[in-house]
Amino acid sequence: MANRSGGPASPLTGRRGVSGSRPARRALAAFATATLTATLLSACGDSGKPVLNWYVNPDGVPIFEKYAEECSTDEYEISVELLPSSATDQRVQLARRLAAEDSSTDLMNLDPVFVAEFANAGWLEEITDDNTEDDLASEITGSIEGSGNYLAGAAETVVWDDKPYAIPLWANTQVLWYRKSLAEQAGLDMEQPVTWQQVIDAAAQNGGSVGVQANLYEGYMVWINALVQGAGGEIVSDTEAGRDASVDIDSDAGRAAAEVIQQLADSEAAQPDLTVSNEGTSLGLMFAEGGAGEFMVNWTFVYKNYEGLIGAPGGPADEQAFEDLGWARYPATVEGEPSKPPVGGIDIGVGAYTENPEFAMEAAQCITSTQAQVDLALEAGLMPSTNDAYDEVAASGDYPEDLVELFRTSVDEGGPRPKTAFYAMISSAVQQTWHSPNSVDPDSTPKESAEYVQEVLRGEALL
Amino acid sequence: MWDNDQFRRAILNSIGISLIATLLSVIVATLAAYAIARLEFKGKRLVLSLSLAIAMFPVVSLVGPLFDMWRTFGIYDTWPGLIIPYMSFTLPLAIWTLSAFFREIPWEMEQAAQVDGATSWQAFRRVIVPLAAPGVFTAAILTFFFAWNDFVFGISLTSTEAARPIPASLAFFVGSDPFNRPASLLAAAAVIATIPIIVIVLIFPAQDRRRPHLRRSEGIGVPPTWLPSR
Amino acid sequence: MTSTAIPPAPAPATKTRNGASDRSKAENRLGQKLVAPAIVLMLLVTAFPMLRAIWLSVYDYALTAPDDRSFIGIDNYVTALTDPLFWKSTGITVLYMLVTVAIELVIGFIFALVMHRVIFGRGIVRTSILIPYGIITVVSGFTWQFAFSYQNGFVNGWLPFISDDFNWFGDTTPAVIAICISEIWKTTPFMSLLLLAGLAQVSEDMIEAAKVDGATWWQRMWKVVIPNMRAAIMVAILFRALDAYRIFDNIFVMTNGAEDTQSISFLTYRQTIEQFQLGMGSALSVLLFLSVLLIAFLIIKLFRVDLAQARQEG
Repeated sequence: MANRSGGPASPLTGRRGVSGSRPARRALAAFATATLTATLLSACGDSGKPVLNWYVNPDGVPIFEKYAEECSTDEYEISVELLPSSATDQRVQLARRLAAEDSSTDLMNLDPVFVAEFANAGWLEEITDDNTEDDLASEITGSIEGSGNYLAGAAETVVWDDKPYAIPLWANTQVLWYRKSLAEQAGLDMEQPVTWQQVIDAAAQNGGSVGVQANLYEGYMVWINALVQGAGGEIVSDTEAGRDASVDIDSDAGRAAAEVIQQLADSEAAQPDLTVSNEGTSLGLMFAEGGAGEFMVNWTFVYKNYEGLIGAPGGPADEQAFEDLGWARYPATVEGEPSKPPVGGIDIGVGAYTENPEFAMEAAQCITSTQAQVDLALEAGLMPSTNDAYDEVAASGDYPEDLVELFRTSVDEGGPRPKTAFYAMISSAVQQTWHSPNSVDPDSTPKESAEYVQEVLRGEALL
Repeated sequence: MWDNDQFRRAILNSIGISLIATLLSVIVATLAAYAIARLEFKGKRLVLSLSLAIAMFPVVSLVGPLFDMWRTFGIYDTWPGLIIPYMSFTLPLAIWTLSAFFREIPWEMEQAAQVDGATSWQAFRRVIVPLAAPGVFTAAILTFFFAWNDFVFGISLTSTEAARPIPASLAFFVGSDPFNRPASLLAAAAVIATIPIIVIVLIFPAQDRRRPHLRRSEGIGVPPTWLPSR
Repeated sequence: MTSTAIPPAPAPATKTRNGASDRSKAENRLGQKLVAPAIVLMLLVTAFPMLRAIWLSVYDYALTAPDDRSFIGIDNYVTALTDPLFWKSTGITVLYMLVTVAIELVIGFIFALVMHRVIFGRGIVRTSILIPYGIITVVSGFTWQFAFSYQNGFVNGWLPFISDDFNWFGDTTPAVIAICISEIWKTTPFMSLLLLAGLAQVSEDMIEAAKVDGATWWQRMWKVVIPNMRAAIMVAILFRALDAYRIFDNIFVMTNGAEDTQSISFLTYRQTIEQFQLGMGSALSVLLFLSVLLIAFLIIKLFRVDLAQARQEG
């Protein structure tokens, strides 16, 4: 803060052309002084209590700040530090610090897909029954089998090599959002599980469209993974083998997924910006004037988003229009096989190089308390990762009850993206071969992408 | 926009860091350029070739090692931590520009003034400084633009508001809809970020109008663009 | 660098002062002292990373698995140079370079003429021409992406022959066009500054003489102005080309490399920063550095640009 005063006065005002032989040294000296002053000034924090740095993603910051304060104790203080808004940048920033064994990275918000990579690199403190209260580690691992407080889908994201390395904070999932009027017109029974094929046809035949995420980014991977898992397959398996993991995308499931993407790309229901679509691009088409609306797979924030936009541009015209918003479970890739809704969210990890591991672990538990999760859900629309918190959210009346239940089931039965230390590589390689969606062909794309992922994992191809 | 504390800090950081980097870079470059233009010494060619090579090196490959070094030196996430790389990357440009300028300056006039009874300081200040000013000014503008524009160092060598400059802080903005960048915020940021540039460019022509006889020097003084201009 | 890029021997003024050898020794020392701070600063930031990049490029080394580092000789280079992606990226990078430099040369020349000739409101004209250069590239990239987006952009609305829901980023050609426009908008001012400098070198007397001889405006441009500012034009092309070859920000912001728009810098960025593959990333950095050197060499040879001379004449 005070380092602004580190700016030196011009040290060379007395420069004298040829005759001066000292300016060089003086410039250096002045520069060194300025550097030193600024460093010292910026380094001075208030002494005494240790400060735990908590790196957070920038959504829901007010609540993070509230809990940073509430979870600070007489022994330590928690300070919130922002990470960039894109998940890729968040990973880069955290990884660079941890690779340098940074002792000031105490607590961090982690996208679930990074947990495996970070844990494998030894950057995360393991969560054990010894360093937590109430046997948190057993609670998390037990939840995967359905015998704990955490939703299985969320608990699964924090486990690497059968041990938990982070604590789920909030769990995100995707559902199918749609206009009830559009589904009705198409004669689609939304009480029953619907398939992608049905949704695409329904939209195409009734002037509607289908919103997905198919830009060249992580969101596209989310879609592809959900499609492949929905057909009973996996993109990669045996991921603990690292670079020798088995690449399974060249399979019937992979081809089924490619078929869905091809169907949409070739359909009238495809949105014009399909190839650059993200979570934001299709929001506006749901209640677009004069349009029939859309079917859209998207995260949980959609409900609060439209509720806040009633009467505003891009939102429903009035309460009645808002009533037309429907939700259903993520569409199935193949008929009869239950869909695997995507699971996202944020997990709290404790840095392996922190100077205060006990404090950080204690703080991590406080930050992920039921109350904190409920606050995040009610104030920021970020849904909880535990059953207790879900019960409270359901009881609050802030969300329609069936929607809360839909979210909970989706997380519980959802499918995580591949858990591997090389996730970033695999994801990027899959995105590269499956983009653009217009070029996806069931006969060639899964095969090509399997070969490419394999080569990239072996270090034989550039990414 | 201005109510956003994060952005206000970023503006102050950007202005402070860019100005200090510009000032120091121009001073150091002036010393070097003076030597190159006026003095005979060993290693002159080396200096010039070295600066060219440095300017050609891809910035992205410097970031990782710099991060480690700055942490060791304890200047990570501080103003000096950004000022130093900005100086290093603008020095080559500033040195080339300034030495071209200095070569054009009729240094005999300094001696003539001294013969006329001026002290060497007076001669330097009254004769040489005005002649060199446009070149120094050009170098300063380019240095400032580089520092003001930089994104890669800004985002990699800072972790808090203590030093994060505007271009990097733009990557931290989220609006009400977490998946779309808030266009209005960006627009406002763009406007605010442009103001200093307008101020500087407006001063620039005033300089060369006042000294029409230096138009020729303006010719060579205008910079080669081989610095990563972004 | 080649010897042609080395500036000329010192100005005559220095030579006349060559006196006793003591004096020249003192001058030698003073000269070295004066350049020392600049050298130290430049090396402080770049020397270690540069050497480290060369050293790392012969290892298989990922930031996430530092213990698995192994020496693999030139394997990284072999992998890179035999990978079609490398050549595809190189090809598209060369395309960006050729297109933007050619168009910027024309537009930049027009701007330079305007800045040179305009009498009224000179400050305002210059400012408005130079502003794009001062705008943060990330912001200008986003702004152009916004302009080209079909939902809220104005480009589709303005162009009569393009349908309103045309997706500029849905195919390679339009995406490359969009990136080039953003890049040209951003860097033309730089080009025109360099050309303005060249224009200032053309003697007004010669133009007047041509006018008296009855030469048309076009003839004056082609026969008098352009030949006389040839050096400045070549320098402008050289430096802008080297910069264009390293295009990164606009691609990063506008397409993130989708639709085969990724440049060689972007490829390097992905290996080094995103994938933490420091070994391969360093090899690509070295290759990028070498190709920039090669382009500099080619342009200098091809156009016989003598920087030293250009600067001298300046």
